[in-house]
Amino acid sequence: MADSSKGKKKKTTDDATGGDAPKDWNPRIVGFLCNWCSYTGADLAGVSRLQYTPEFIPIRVMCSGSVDVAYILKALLEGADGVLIGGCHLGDCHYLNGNYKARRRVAVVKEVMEGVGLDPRRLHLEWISASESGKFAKTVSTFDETLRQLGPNPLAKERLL
Amino acid sequence: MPGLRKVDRLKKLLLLLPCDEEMEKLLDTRSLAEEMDDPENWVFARSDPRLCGPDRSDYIADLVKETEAQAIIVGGPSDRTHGSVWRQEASFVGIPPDRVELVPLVQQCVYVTDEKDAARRRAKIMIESALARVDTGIDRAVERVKAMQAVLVIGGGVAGMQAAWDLADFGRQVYLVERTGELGGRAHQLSRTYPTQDCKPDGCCPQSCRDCQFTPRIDLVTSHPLIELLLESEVKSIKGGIGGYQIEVHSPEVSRLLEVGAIVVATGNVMFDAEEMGELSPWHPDVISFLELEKLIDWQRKEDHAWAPLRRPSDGKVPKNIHFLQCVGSRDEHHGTIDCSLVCCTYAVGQAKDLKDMLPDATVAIHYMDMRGPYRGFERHYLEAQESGVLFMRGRVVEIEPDNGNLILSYEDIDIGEPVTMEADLVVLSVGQLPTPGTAELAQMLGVPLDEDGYIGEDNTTYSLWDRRGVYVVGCAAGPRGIRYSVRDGREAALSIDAVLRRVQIELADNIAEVDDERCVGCGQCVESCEYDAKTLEERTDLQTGRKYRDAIVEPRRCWGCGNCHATCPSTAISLSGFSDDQLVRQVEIASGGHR
Ligand SMILES: Cc1cc2nc3c(=O)[nH]c(=O)nc-3n(C[C@H](O)[C@H](O)[C@H](O)COP(=O)(O)OP(=O)(O)OC[C@H]3O[C@@H](n4cnc5c(N)ncnc54)[C@H](O)[C@@H]3O)c2cc1C
Ligand code: SF4
Ligand code: SF4
Ligand code: FES
Repeated sequence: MADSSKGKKKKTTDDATGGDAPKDWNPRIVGFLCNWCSYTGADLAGVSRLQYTPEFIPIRVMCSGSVDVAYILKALLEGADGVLIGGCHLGDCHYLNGNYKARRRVAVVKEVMEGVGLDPRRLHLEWISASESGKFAKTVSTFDETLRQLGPNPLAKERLL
Repeated sequence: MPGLRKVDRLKKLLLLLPCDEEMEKLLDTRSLAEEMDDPENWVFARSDPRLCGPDRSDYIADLVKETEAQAIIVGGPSDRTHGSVWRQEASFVGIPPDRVELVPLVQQCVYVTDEKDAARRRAKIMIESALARVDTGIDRAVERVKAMQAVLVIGGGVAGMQAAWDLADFGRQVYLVERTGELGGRAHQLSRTYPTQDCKPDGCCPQSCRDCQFTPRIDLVTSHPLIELLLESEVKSIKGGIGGYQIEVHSPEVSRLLEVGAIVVATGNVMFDAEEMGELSPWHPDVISFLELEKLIDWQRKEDHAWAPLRRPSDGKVPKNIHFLQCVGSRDEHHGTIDCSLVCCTYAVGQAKDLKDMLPDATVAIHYMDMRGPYRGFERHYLEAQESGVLFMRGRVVEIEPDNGNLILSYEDIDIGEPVTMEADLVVLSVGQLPTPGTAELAQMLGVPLDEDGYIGEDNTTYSLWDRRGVYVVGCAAGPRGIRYSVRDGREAALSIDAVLRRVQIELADNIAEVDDERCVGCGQCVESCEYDAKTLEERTDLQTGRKYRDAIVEPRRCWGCGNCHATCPSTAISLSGFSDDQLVRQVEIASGGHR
């Protein structure tokens, strides 16, 4: 499992607001998908007619290692309820070690998130190969479930006020 | 590069393809095009069946003329499958590749949900994101670099020789660097290769056995005025990238610096050393590899010795009971490689048949798991061996024990399902093949990845990474294969290289990192993050103050466009064209909050 966050029970802004989601709310997910593996996995998922939440919006990047910390934070500040990063399996990155760098970066961002009162589970990193369409769809759906439990991104709410 | 120039807002042609009938039922592209058409904001949206028909190019040319579009956004197929198709289409109307965006409505949008409204909303967000990408890109003329015309070939086996000879014949200067003192490589050590057709009158043999092939081939190469042969030489360092490589080569007494435009890697592979498989008694003089058997047979094939029977190494006795073991260090999770080495079955069957011809009274048996012959002609070759009396026994030999001057084999016979022991007086191991030592170091110097088996690996047929790099891996350097395929690889690489270098000015790929000098603080983090040594720090002097400082620079010929440096830079000084900060930030904004 790429994602190591255990979702510790801790008093965060998230916990304070998690329950009162508006009725028609569906978690918005921004997905950074690496060109060579996860993006192709997502293509295959569509071709195979696998379904997942339409609130998942894909962004193609060349490598998971090219996802800047700033983009992740930006997405959360802009109101995305969750950020998913999809990369090649460790050892399969088309640029040698990009996914190791992504893993390190994600760990750092998770700490930052905790610091500002965001549940680190709102950021999820997963290795999804080009042939793993099922894993892709399942990852998005499971992530969607987690976000439903967490409720809307509190930062997004503040932005609305 | 002082401050990267951003594009101004562009006129965008948005083409929503109505080609997928099933998709049309879920997403009406025509009404979506009507909704998104916004000429005031320079978005010209169309959905028309002509986009799916044979007159597509004409129709697009008309549209571009009418709208003066400077960018094309295609809603329908995915970049991974149709990116190249639409970039080519755009090039017909003079639109550069980085101004073409594909929105994968088919693959990643419409079928994801049953709710039509949600799919349509999502389609709009994805399209907006693509429109924004085009408007926030970097204005970047396609970069062209001058191409050095000479070529370096590393390794002088059949594959390398073929590449060198073809390239020289095209009129190119070729440097052929060979580690050992002679050309020919592995195949030159084999007195006979299989399946041979024995020069039958009905067709020429596709194999290239030593006497038939090598004498003329080696002469062709050594006598060609455009091939400079560097024997007993090693490549020590490789700088630069496609079209402009600087290579340091060490030869016995001299060290040379070569400038070439492309590199052929033809370093072959090596044989598995059975030493680690103690259970097979590999130390025993009568347990030999098929390459050692080759030497025995070769000696005998020489005219003068034709009368002398083949003798086993330990005591010079003529063997009566010869057993071949296939897949020693191949198709094995614990030893050698998990893969099939492809040529061993063909070769062992040939050797066994030849032995049977030489020693008609001897038992010659092959212990195998599956008979694999990835060649046309193999099946006949196999039948001929069976007819000549070679025995084929299915099962893996697990132990060889010396006994009283002979060898006892224990194995489970798959066909009868029982453990069996058997006596032999000569055992031949068909050992597997592994990457040549030093392959990892060479890959590092070249800035190319290794595959999971440790080979530099094959090219991707859809997206040629080799053409981007100017590095071509041929023959067994890319994994085991037969001679004719190795030779063909060499020819293919020569043709590809000629096609690339012939342009003199090479167009570099469109996703390459660029550094904004005004933002770079010279911290060097990007240099460390680049796996391909495409980044360096350059010492500079401020002309006004005389102060010395450092800035990062990119060697564009060497950059793979992964964007890792960009994510590392603390001063956001690096942009990957096609994936710049402005582009990604806009996309993130749209993707994050589009629905609120
Ligand atoms: C036992 C055996 C039996 C075979 N039988 C058959 C057969 O019956 N039929 C068939 O079609 N094929 C057969 N093959 C396969 C055939 O030998 C290969 O396809 C062919 O030799 C590959 O040629 P190559 O040029 O790729 O590599 P090689 O012949 O291995 O040549 C590589 C060359 O590169 C040199 N080199 C390596 N590293 C460096 C370096 N860093 N710098 C400079 N030089 C370097 C080596 O010294 C060598 O000269 C057999 C192979 C084996 C091992
Ligand atoms: S990481 Fe950024 S600031 Fe540091 S040297 Fe590289 S480009 Fe310059
Ligand atoms: S984009 Fe990748 S290959 Fe190019 S300079 Fe940056 S890290 Fe190196
Ligand atoms: S290319 Fe997929 S993670 Fe690097």
